[in-house]
Amino acid sequence: MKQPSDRLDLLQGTLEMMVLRTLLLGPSNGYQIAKTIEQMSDDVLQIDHGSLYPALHRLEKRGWLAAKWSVSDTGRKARFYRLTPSGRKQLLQEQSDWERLTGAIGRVMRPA
Amino acid sequence: MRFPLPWRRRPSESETDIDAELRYHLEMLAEERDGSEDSNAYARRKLGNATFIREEIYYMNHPAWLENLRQDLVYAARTMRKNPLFTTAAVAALALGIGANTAIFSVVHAVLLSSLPYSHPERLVKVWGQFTRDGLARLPFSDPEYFDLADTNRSFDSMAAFYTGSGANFGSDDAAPQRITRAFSTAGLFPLLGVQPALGRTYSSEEDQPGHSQVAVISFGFWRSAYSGDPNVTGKTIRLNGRPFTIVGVLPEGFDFGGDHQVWTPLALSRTSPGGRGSHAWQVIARLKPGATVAQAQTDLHAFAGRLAEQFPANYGGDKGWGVFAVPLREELVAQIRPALLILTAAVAFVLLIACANVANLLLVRAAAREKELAIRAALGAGRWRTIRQLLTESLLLALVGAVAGIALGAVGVSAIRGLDPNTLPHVGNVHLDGPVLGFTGALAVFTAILFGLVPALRVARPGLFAAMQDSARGASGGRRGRSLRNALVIAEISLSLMLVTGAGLAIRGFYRLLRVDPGFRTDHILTFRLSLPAVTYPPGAPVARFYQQIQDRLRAVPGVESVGAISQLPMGRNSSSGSVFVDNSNASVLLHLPNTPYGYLEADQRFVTPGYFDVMKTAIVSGRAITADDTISSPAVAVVDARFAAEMWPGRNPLQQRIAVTTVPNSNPPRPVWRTVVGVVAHVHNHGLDEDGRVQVYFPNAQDPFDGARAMTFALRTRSDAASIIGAAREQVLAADRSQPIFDVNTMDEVVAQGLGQRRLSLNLLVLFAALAAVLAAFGVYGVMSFGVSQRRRELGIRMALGARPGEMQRMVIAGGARLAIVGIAIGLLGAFWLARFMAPLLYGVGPHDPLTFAIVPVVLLVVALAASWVPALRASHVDPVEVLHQE
Repeated sequence: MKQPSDRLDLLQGTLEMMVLRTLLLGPSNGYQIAKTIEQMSDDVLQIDHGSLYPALHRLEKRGWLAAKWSVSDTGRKARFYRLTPSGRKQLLQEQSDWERLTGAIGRVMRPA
Repeated sequence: MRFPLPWRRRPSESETDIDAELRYHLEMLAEERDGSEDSNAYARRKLGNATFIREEIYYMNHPAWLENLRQDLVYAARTMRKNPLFTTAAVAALALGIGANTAIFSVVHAVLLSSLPYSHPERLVKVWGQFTRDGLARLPFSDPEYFDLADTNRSFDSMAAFYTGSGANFGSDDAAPQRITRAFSTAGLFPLLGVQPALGRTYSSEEDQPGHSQVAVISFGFWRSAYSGDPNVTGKTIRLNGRPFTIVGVLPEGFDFGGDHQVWTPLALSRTSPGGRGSHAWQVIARLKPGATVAQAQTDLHAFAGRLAEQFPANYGGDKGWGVFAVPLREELVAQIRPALLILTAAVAFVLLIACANVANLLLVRAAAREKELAIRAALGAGRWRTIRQLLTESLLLALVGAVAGIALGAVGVSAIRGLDPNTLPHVGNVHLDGPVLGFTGALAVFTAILFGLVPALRVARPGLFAAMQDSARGASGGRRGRSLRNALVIAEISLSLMLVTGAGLAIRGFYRLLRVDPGFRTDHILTFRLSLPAVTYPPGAPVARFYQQIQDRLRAVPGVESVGAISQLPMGRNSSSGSVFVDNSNASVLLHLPNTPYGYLEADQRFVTPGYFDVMKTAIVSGRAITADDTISSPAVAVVDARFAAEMWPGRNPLQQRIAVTTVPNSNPPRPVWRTVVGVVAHVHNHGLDEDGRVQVYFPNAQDPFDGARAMTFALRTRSDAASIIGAAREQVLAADRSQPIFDVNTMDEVVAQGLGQRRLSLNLLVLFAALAAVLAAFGVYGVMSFGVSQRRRELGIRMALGARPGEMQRMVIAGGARLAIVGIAIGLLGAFWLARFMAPLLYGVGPHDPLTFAIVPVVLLVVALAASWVPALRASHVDPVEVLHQE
């Protein structure tokens, strides 16, 4: 059975980083996370909802997220994720990596 | 039968979690388009394929190989359940093979592999002397030799001397006297072994001095039994042979150095007044310096022996073959049993191989029936390796179930082995079904699974499945390709079992040769027991002989007793002693000579006997007379020699009235023998076991004991009925004479002889058991292949019948097929057996490893077994109904 786990590494990594970032604001469920990312990017980024849940479970397995069932604003039961301390550390690491990367690319792409 | 595998079904808990989570997401998405008709479709499009998402998350937690394994195992378990007959046959064969291997390995592990319970046991060696000329291959040391050795050695950290196999009378006024086992050692023994006492201390070197040595350490078991584990036992007094000793410590549980001794006391050797160089009594153990090798120690000891020979040529010089050498302690303990254990290990390995061949054949037969199923699986996209893996998983499950049943069988075997006498099997108490043994069994199961599973799996999973489907559809020749492989396996089984049966046959022949050896005495209707008189109450000389005379008179009066006699060391018993005997008027070439003496001497077994002893044992008087009551301390000194002594010393001459001596006149130089007259010649006796011819022998009247050698005597009572029934009455008579005298080593003479055969009997029984197992498994192999052949050829057989073949011809045809396999197997097996037989030599007595009779009978036996195994399928072949068979087509 082929495992569809490694499509587009960059996107996957980026998605995970953004998931961590949104959860910095507080616990949230999958749907809200997708919406938040879309809204924060002014709808520039369209999340692949299909790959969101594997990403969430992967992050949970690594211990960066913790999940529990509770009731959402709309009164339905939903699975809420929150950042764990190690997830917070991971986010800081990825954030600084990301900034160094975009900074470097930015310097390369600066008009001569 | 259900298999409660942990991953029997996909875990449902998290699955519903994921489902619920995705459902919530879908609902929220649908609400964005609330009311519109395509809201649900929009939600589904936005999320994508929910099944993929679920699977991706599922495989995140459950790797694919694990999932495949789960499927294979479930499938394998189902296959096993669906074929109960096949499963039972295969598991039974494997259980027998694995069980036998588990039991034997538990012994090999305990005896040959596990380390001795001492600190750095690999550095421990036994040191021995030798006089090869006299046939003294392993000689203990005398006091002066031990001191010389300890003072001059360079390879050893420390050395200790000890003496085992002794005993002591132990008793109080209110309980029946008891004989306990006792050993002596220098103070250094326990530190040398690295043994810490469980209680108190071991004795100090100050206490290991003559006059200060009334201290004792006791064994853990004796502490428990005699002192009920009293924690304040140290400081108490224990009376041994009427003398008081202070208990200073308790040895740790399981300490069994040199045998199971209840009490250890100091050896207390004296440097100032050592005994003679010639009285070799002390065994010596030494610890190699760190980094020193046994070879270095040998070089050192060789040099030491050379120096001693220069210094004392009378004792060690000339062509005596004097030497000193070291043997690693482990080697010392297991050298004797190792060949038998290795042979048994090989035997069980053969049994397992035969079992594997059997199971492989069963799998091949079943594979023929499954070709269609496997072809369909292949057609549906199962890869070759996937199929092989699946078949191997089935084999593995089969082997594991077989291993579990085998461990159960092995446990039965281990408990039987633990019931054996430690004299038969050293370290028998350490034989356990423990971690390493179970690990071995597990590894064995995996190994066997590969062994019997791989060939069928590779063969079945070969390409060209289309042909297979056609074949099976026609139902005729599903086994044609497999037939040669199946036949090869059966031939292998027959040849392996022939080798094993040949080994067992040789061992049986040797054993019965041994049983027919004439030991020089009769063994039936004789009760034996030992007495040892303490010097405190019976000073050396007349009192000892008088007491034994009194006991003998009392015993003779016991109803049921025919005759009574006693000897200082019973033939084949625990004790034996030998020494130099001067021989007058002989120039036999085996005699050794001291300087300036006209007569030679040689090493001979020396025994003291009471009047009537030879009569009890029915040892033949060849000429002259036996020892009688007239041979007393005041009558002329006499001796009786054995027939070999007489023939070797005085060939062609009358041995009667010749002279021999075992003592010399004190302070005479050159030594002047104290001569005794030979008055009788008796038959040679096997003193050390049926399989050992032993030395020449001399006997003296116990009343003329010159060196207090008749203080301990073994009585032999010839009884009219069952010898064992006299024990109680005999003990009563001894206690009536002296109520502090325990009798010990109580055995019938039959038992004494049997104990000497224990190890041989054990290996023989096991070898015969394994050979029988092998033959039965091989018979099933032949039966299985012939039956399958008949069922495959039903159509052909039916046509033959229809064409007029008679049932008898059909039977002969099938049996001839079985005979062909058997003959090829037997031919190959004979070659193997001929080559392997040499390794059997240590187990054989009086029969060569290529004994023609064995090699003639065993093939016939196996041929008969194979023909019998073909008989049932042959009968079935002759009962094929042609109408029915042709109807099916």
